[in-house]
Amino acid sequence: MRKKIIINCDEATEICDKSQYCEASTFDKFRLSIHNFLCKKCHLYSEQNALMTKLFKTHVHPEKEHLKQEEKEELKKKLEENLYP
Amino acid sequence: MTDQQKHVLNPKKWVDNYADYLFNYTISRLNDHDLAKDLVQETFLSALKAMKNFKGQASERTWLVSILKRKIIDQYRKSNSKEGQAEVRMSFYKTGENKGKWIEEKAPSNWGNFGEKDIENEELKKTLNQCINGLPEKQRIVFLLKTVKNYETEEISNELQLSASNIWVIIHRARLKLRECMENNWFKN
Repeated sequence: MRKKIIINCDEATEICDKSQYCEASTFDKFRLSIHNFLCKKCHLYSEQNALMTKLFKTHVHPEKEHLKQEEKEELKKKLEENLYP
Repeated sequence: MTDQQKHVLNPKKWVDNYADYLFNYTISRLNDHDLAKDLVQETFLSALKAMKNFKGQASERTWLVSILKRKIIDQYRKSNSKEGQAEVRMSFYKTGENKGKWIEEKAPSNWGNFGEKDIENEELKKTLNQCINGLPEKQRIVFLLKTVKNYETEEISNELQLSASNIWVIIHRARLKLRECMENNWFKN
């Protein structure tokens, strides 16, 4: 199937999302820039999306969460109960 | 007994030896403390029941992780069926002559003079993480694997049995929601 050059906003923003992970193809990026040139909303989306990526990199680190000591004790108790029912 | 040493199970040591590892594995996929804790507990309890099936070929940890993985996929599927019909808050027209165009009230609006220097901010961090935790579970899992764990699309595809194009649609939806959530709760507040 031949890929079209003119894309809609839904497609454009999906390509923009892909490009945040450097996984958009050159052709996709070309289509996106044409779309953004003509579409203010998606142009704004692209700017905000790049900023969102920075926010994620700075602020989202779920691995810093820990189990608290009392939660571990609770787990042990649960396990113990089921070990010798 | 063969040359190869057989692994044995020692449930009394599970919490001390593996709770942190399993918790980290889960939290990086779900970003939800209580849910992660529950899945670790369920993993231990399922493992107890399945002890007689343990053949000693894999290490204790590998075996526990394989049980946890199934729990995470179950969680993913559960949320999948729950949320399947709830995808009403879409951003674009789905049919008609406006198909694929922004629905006006969902379109991005200006965020004012937010700059690099405003990124470091504890309140913003809190709001952002709340937005992520508010995502439907399947979107949250896929989004976090891709964005925070930096997984290759193919790895996610294998772990969750999804096609690549499916993964991108999910990430697309997640990022649309996150942008909107930050717009409403931070940038326009």
